[in-house]
Amino acid sequence: MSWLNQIRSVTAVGLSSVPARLGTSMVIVVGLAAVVAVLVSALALAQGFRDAARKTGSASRAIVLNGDTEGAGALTRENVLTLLNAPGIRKAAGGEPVASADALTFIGLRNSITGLNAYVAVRGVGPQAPALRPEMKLVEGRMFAPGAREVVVGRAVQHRLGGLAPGATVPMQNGDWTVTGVFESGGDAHESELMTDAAMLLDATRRNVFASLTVALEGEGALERFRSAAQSDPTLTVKVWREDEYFELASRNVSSLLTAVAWGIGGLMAFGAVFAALNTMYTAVGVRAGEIATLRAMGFGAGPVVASVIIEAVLLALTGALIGALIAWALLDGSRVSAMSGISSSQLTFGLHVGPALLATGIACGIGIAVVGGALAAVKAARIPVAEAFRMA
Amino acid sequence: MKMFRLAWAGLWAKPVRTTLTLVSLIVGFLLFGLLQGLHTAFALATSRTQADRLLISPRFESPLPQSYLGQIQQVPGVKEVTWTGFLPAFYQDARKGFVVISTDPVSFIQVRNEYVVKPAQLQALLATRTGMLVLESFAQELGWKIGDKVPLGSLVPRADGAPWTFDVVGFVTNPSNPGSVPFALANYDYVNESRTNLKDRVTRFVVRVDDPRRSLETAEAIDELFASSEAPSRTQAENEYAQSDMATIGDVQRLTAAITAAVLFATLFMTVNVIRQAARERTPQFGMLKTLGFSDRKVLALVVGEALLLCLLGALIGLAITTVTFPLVASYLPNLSGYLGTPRLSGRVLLLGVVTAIALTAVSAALPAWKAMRLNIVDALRMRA
Repeated sequence: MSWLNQIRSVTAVGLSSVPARLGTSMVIVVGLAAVVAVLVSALALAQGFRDAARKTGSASRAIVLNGDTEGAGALTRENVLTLLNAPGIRKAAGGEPVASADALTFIGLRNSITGLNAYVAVRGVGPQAPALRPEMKLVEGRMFAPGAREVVVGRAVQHRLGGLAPGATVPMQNGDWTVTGVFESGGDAHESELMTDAAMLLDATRRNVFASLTVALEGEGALERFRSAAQSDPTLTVKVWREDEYFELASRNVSSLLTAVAWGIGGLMAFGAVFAALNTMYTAVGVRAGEIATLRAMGFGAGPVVASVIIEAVLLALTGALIGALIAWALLDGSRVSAMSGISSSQLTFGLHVGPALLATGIACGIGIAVVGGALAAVKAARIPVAEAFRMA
Repeated sequence: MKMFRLAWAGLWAKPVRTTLTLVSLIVGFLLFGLLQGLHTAFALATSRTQADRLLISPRFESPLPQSYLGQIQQVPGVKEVTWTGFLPAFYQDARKGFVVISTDPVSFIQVRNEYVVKPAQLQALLATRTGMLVLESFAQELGWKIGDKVPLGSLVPRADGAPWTFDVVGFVTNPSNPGSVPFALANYDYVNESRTNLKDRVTRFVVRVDDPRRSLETAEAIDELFASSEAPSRTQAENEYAQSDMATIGDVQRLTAAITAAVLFATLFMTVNVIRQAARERTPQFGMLKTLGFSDRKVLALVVGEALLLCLLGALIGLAITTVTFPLVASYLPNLSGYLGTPRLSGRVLLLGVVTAIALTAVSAALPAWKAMRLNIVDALRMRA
């Protein structure tokens, strides 16, 4: 009989007895389901965060800061005018530079879904903002009118807090402002913010400095020209970043923390699960000692016996991993969560997507655990001395 | 003791299985300890930060009347309220100003619990109408001692034209912020009676709320009370940043709870199976023991004892590893340790771990132990060893 046929028969015999030892077999299924569910969920969280942060910036824009973060920024009007005269900035049809000096504040809102507090960033933007950030699209209502006490709300904030439809009001520092519309910008960090006119926001917060300046770059080499002009100006102490690099960097701490936590917890659980799987397969081999001895006596080789034990472990693990992945997918896919972002020190709300790559990672981990656990037990199975096994049985 | 040795021997009848189970249990309890440790550390940090304090100030120009107190106390979510009237003052040198905070000293110290006053000195302030408690470092700077009667200058004159005079009855310290701006505490009634501005009014109320995560709701409820009065209020969290941190921590706590549940469920499932199987395999042994005169209850105790040994051993080793590794793990959470101080492993977590191990034993040993107790000797011995 060929090897492959042997493996098939031995495995079939083994699997046929699984229902008889359902309890111990289920230990692998349940254990793996837990490991994979946790691992896939945690990785989905880390990945969703990273994607949202990365998407926020564009390589065709530069951001100018004079503090460690936007929240700590304090660019004066003079600073802004100086910067707008620097080379490398794309000009609109009318000749004005495509740029926006942003003001930033935080307001307290009530989450109408949970009833808890939520603090949200409000970004004041300049008149060129639509040309600067074409990814921002109004999906409901109308844009805020410059000079009016009006804001538009990011889709992610609206999802997170509920309410905030056009017509609602938000409590600003100088009274209630009206929500006029809802915008989307491709699921990036700005969708977690409210947006209004920079001049109105500075007036409301009684400040006269901007948090940051974002400019559109002309093209090839523009970043270097703009950066060297801005950073060598003696009246300025600023840092110029390519926008996407800035947002990636700003979120890196949180992003790597989430990834480390995901693998840390997932890894520990997987370690525990290896032992549980090993235990189950040891028991299975013990129970089947007589049956294995019979097969060996009939002329089946040690190899097929080893393979059959591993295959059984993998099949059980696969069932568990699939259940776990399904749980993670059902619970999280398409949902939105928020986390401390490191970007403008507000919460970043982002969508979770439990995609094929994540599911594959989870299932691969499950198979890995089963192979390790199964292999050690399989060696025991292969070593069962035939005569002794018969005596035992 | 004999029972213990019997249980111990039973536990190691299948050394491989016991070892493997033990390792899984250790990992399970290590995860439990780490996750619950973080969970508890966050909860403790929440109560320690001052995110639960609200300041009620005038919305517009008109200062709030002290008579709002009763209404504020009735608002759901309000735990304690105090009120303060600021009297700008100076001693001899008008350039070195400080604030005399006229207040209700007892509620003030409750709400502003970062300040420390000796109980006897607080009593002295209550007993002395013109008394004053001075920030200790400031009193040292000025050379004030208990018993001094100090005349103060102020931009707010007294109704009778006389200088503001206070008796130093004690000191206040702020251990968490030694560099605090200079101030003194005085009785509201005394200052209020004599002042010419802000009479029966307060500079602000300070509220402590039950649940910082719902403080916005409380703040709204307070402002609603006075919205249409002549002196509307504006209620704000004392530390808004700390509050948005709390919201994040809310998510962290849900997450740790969910993962802990998954870990415990998998651990429980495994333990149930191992114990059940071990008991089934040893059925003939139980029959033997009964033949030798062991009572049914003793057999039950043996099964439970064995399970308990296994679970406790796993829990204790796992929790011991947690104790060692927790500071290392905690130091990897830069964001959280920055705001809240590095989380420390609470003794409660270890206790909870042991309780969980006992619960695990109870659930997994109940059925096998019951079966072993009811076992009929003949049936038991008929089973092949």
